[in-house]
Amino acid sequence: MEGFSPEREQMAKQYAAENKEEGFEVEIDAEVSKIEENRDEIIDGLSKIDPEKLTPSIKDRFVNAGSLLVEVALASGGLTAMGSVVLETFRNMGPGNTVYDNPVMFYTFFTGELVVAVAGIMEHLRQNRKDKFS
Amino acid sequence: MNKEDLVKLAEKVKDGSATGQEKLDFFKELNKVLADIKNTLEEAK
Repeated sequence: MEGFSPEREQMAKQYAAENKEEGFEVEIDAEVSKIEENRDEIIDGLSKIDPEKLTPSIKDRFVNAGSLLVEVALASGGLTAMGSVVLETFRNMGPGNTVYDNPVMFYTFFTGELVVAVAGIMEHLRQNRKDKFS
Repeated sequence: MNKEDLVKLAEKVKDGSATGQEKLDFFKELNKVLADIKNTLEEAK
């Protein structure tokens, strides 16, 4: 964009980026709906498992997924500084950790943080889109 | 998509520089993470 002022160049880039979004809105809406369905199914599923039956392998998978979700929630702006504390807790999880070793504490921690992380991501993005398209 | 790429994508979505395709990819990847949790839950029952 030679010859354009930096402001005009920025406006042109922004216009191009916005136009690129056209055609994706329907697919994005479908994915967002799926995320909300998945979240509800997970909350329902969590209420049906027995914390005492969580094997180390299952716990490790929960820790990895929970850590990833909290990290994504932090990066997307959906969690405040408190999220960093939660992420550190997830990172330190493993045998010998108080939360990890206690089935009920682990279950409660994972359920709470998962719900907050997904809600944080969704709320932030919803707000982001509302600002942009209103 | 690995963890680092997903986090980078989340940052782009946050600062508004993500294209529509990138936003769509972000939501799809997020659904994959949730689907994995659902599978883990099934095994935990």
